[in-house]
Amino acid sequence: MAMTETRPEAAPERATPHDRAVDESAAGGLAGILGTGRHGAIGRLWIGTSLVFLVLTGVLGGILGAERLKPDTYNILNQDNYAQALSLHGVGAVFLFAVPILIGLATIVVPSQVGAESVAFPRAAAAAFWTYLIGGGMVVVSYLINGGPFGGNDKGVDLFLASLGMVVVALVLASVCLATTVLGLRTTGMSLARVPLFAWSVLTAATIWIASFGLLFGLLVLLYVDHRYRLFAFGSSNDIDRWLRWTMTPPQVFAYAIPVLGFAGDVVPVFGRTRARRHGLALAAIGAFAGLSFGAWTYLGNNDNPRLYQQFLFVASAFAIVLPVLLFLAFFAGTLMHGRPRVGSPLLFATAAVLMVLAGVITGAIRSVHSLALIDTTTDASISHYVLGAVAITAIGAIHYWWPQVLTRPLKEALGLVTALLLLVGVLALALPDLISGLLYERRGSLGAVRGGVEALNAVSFVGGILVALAVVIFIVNLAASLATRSDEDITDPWDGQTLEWAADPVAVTIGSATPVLDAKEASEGAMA
Amino acid sequence: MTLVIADDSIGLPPPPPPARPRVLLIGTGFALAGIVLAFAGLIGLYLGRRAAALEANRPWLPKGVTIDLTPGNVAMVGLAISAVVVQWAVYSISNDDRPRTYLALGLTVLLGGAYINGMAFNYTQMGITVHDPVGLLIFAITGMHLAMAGAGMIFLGLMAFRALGGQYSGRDREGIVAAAMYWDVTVLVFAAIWFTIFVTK
Repeated sequence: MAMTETRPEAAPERATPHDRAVDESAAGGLAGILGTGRHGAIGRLWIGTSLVFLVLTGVLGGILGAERLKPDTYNILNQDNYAQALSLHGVGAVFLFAVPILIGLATIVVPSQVGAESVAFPRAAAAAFWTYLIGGGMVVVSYLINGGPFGGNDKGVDLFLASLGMVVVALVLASVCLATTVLGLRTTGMSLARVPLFAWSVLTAATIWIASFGLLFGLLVLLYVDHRYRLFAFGSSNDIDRWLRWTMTPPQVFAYAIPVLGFAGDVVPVFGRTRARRHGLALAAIGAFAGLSFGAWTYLGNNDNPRLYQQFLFVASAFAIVLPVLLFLAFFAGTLMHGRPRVGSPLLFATAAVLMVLAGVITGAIRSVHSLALIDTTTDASISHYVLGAVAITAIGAIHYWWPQVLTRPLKEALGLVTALLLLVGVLALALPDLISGLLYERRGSLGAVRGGVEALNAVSFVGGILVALAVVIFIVNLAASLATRSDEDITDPWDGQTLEWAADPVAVTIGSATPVLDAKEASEGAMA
Repeated sequence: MTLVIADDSIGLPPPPPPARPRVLLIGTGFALAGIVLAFAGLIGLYLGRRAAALEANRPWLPKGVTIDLTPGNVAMVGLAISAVVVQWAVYSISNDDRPRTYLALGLTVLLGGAYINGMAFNYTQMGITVHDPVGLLIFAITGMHLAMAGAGMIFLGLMAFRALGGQYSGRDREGIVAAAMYWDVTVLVFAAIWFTIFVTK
């Protein structure tokens, strides 16, 4: 039977950027890696490289911890290279490990979570990784040639400023790709109110990173020109650390922990075997936490405007940021209490990470009390260790959680539980003594005569570092064992995940107006049935 | 409307994909947020240092340095005109008026080039060097803005070539709008620089 019908408008014939990127990355071997535009491959490159930098900063942290066992003298390092090692430990932990590993995880997971074919601007995402790799390598080289903050080699200091600028540009570029993916490539029907919590946290984190790292880039340009022409109007190499310190202290340091809450928010309903209770509350808590963690406005606090730390806005924001974390904990506990919780390593990782964030923000609030004089003491290190520890716990936990999507089989659960427990105890032991040392006025950045008890606290902190290192070793062994093992059985969803990345084909899903976001996977399964 | 005859054996073409928000526009917006913050930090530093110098009764500008308002005004007016012209390009592509789109984009790039040329001349007249703190700040801020303007001109040129290749039209003008947005923010950033460095000095 023939009929007359109006032909629907045809789909555009031009290939999407994703299609082209995938086509061009068909080459294998090194050419395939160098030319890849696939978000999974780019994400794995980010994660692999940042884990290498984690080992580097971890080893440095171990040396610094051993040096602090006898804090009155320098036993392993001297005064200059102690300061340089401390600087590389901080810069490496934030710019070469914490932010990049979260970007790597997000690059793999977020497109699938929102039902996109790929990350937005896949070539820009790839360019961001290679810029980070080269820049990060040059940052390390700059320290090796006696450059960087506290360095004696002027060209090495120039190299540090230029290469850190490269890393910052790379992180901003990658953040732009991720934020655009969540905002612009969500599947039909997935409004922002329904977006999975990890994707939402990545959107808010990327926005804060873009803004704050944009300011940091401007500052690095100025410092580079100042140092390159040997004017030193903004200080010598010894002062560069002060210009960068706002990136590693509250409130900015909390900005690196925003995805921690997102990961925990996605994991808790899965292991509570229930639907998330008050999804909107969690969205609001993560958004408020992100907003309050924007710390670029404190960039003059260690230099031109030291009175900033006494101002009401600074103190009030330091206390206010505790509130969204408590709200998130209420969501976390409420979801667990209304379900039938089961034990699993991702839940343990998520719980440990959220508790570390809570400890970090509470310590940050204590630090802001001017009469305690905790700024520039080891309390700063305590907060950094809590927060960056939470990032490390999340990163390792997220790899455990999403690993079946990479290799279609989970990592060994028992080793995962041991890793999570070791990390929880290790980070706590690493960070808490530094708060107490700070209350005893132990300064950060140099060694010298200390009050009684600080030596013992430093020893506890050192043991905490060893526990963290042990956990990382167990994790790497677990990862290597999984890579070396071959299995015929595909286990792609061992947790019964609720978000879209666990669907057989996330891109094919259209979320109906009446379908809650966490039923997205079921909606896709229903559509396929 | 195209009418076709179809029967059971003839499959209809696939439906169009769901409408996507403007990805390039969103990405450009995010990138601009970072760029604006970079300038905000530097201008804040400039203002802070100047306020500290004036509070201590120290002269802010070094001896022999003059920052005339006229060249700054010329640059500002030129860029302000370019901000209007680039919107003409958006209006033209919206109406599928390609010749005027190319003309408007070309004029915007030309005005951008004139701005860069004017600033280069201005540097020779101001008498500042990078070897004093004020000169360092001025060179860092205006130099970064020249780089931003240069990137904007490349962006506009690239979108013009894409329009020339038929990629953009009244129905899909995303690239032109994104480039225009970038350029307008470039002009706004210069307005802040003009007020800070050239007007209030």
